[in-house]
Amino acid sequence: MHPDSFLAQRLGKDSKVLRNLESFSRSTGIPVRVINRGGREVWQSRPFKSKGGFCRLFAQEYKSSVCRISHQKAAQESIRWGVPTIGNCCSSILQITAPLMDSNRLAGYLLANPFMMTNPVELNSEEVASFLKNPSPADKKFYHALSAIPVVKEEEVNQAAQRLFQLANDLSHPDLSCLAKVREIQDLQGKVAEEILSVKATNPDLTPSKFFKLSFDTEKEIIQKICSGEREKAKEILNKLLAILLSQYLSDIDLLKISILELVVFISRAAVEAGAKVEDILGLKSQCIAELWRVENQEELCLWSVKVVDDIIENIYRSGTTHLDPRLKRAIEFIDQHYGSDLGVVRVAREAFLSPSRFSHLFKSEMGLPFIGYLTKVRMQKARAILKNSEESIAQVALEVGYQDQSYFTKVFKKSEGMTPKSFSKNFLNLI
Amino acid sequence: MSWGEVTIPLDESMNGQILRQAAEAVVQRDCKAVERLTAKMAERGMDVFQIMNQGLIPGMLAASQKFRKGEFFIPEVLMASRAVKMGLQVLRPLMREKSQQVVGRVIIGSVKFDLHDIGKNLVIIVLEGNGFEVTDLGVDVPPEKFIRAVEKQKAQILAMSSLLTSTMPWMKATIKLLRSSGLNQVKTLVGGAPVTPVYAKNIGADGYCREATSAPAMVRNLLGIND
Repeated sequence: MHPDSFLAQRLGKDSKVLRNLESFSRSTGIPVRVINRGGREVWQSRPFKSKGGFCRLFAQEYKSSVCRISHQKAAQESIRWGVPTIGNCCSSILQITAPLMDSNRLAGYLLANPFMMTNPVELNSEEVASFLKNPSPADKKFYHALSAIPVVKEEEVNQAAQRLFQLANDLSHPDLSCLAKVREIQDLQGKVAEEILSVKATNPDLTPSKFFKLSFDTEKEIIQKICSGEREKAKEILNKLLAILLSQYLSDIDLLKISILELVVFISRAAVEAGAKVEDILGLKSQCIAELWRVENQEELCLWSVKVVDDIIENIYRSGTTHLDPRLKRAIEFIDQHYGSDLGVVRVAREAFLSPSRFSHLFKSEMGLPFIGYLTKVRMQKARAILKNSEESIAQVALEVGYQDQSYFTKVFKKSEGMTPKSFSKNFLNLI
Repeated sequence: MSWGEVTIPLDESMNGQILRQAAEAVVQRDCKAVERLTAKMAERGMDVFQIMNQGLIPGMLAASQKFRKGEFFIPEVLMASRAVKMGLQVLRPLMREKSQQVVGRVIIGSVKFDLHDIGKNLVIIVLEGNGFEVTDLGVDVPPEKFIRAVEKQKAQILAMSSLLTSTMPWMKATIKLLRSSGLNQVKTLVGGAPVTPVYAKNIGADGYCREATSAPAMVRNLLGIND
């Protein structure tokens, strides 16, 4: 169907959608328009206030194509991210856009604009000047139009954007669920970029050999999580691994594919050891390798590897037996919940119904590192997360992860991360 | 202990306090307060670059960190950057006084399909504050546009930012096009969250910038200008 007749049909047939658009406009105070793919307006909400006509005046001053290009760019962004876009339309004037799709193709978009988050009287001369080529303070018509632009509170803008996206969803055919995968990809890319930041923060001078060691260590870490059935943690570490691989092989998708394939082989071997059925894992592998060669870009490649690892972990779960001793599993869960308190081997061993010496022996042989080494690792992991995500003092962080003595915490952290907690959080902030 | 030793730290801490307040005002998106505090710092004779690097920019960094953590949404980030702009408007006349001569010409932009520009805008601010003439090509800049601008402005530096791993290969494409266009004397600088020094080296970039505040030193270094 021609995009325009699609819009006409949707707008004509379903008057409920039009009513909802009108009510959006009245409740938010922002005028709404339906724009077709070519940038032409096909519907607009009823003017509810003294119409200032700011956009018309602006278009006279400049070319109306300036506005059209800005709207269209925003609509394209909206499709690329799978979310409504909020942004500057011109200078301090804002717009919200959401795409209208007909069978996965762009038919047009919803545009809510103009509005501002600042009261127009508070704009300074430089901002006002950006609207006009030859500003004249006496230009009453212009100031009248400017003051008629609705002012929306910051916290309400985001809500309005979500509502507009919902309305665009109702108007689209079948709906906007086609953008869900886009959101998933972007979400994952965001997480991977975050991990790259984190890798950069802890390793200021990244040499290829350091990269190699880092990926080797991280692989060990992920295997350990998979074996102990810690699904969410395994996924977190996978993001880190993807970050490491991406920063190494970014310029070559084939190399990237091969290194990710290597990782999958490595993980599936560990899965078999952890109790997954060999035939299931083999079937899974052949199926996903076929998929792998079809993947064309690194965004999809990341998504693919997350799904594969998820399937593998699922498989271990289904087989019902992870190779880790249930008593140790219990101990690990206990450590994970109580790492912030004074945790000694006696207390954890009791939780696992084992004598301290038996527990220590079993722990080391199954986990590959002594209890205290594991506890420190967990504590450092938590400390890193807190330092990354909050502005808490180092003393507070130390307490939260189970260290009464800040200087001891700093010493341990430095040994494990190669830098003090303070420089870690500073480095992290600097990299944003 | 002499009086001198006591008064200097006191004065320092006073400046430090205002700097912190200014950063906090940026996070609070209190444009008026940012304007007022910036003017106050300028009146106290504080260095323009210090006001930016230790007041306004940390505020913007904190706001973008809140965005990444999901505490801020786009509207808050937009307002925070407006607050920074208000502060910069106060500083701009002072910057012009400070650097009469143009140190070098820089073309900057975010590569194709990358529409984030918080970090890039910070780089522009600090470069301009250090006397560079910066032409901002904005976001979503294709390689050809970069090259055309370099030729037109006779720029010595081409700076590119990318915030997504998926857009990073465009930096490589741009550098390749620059070299094949015979513009070998132009130095290239890359940066952005996912960009690493190893990657920068691999794609043949002349410099890599870890954070906005280190950009001026890096550019000077590339141009062989001694501080």
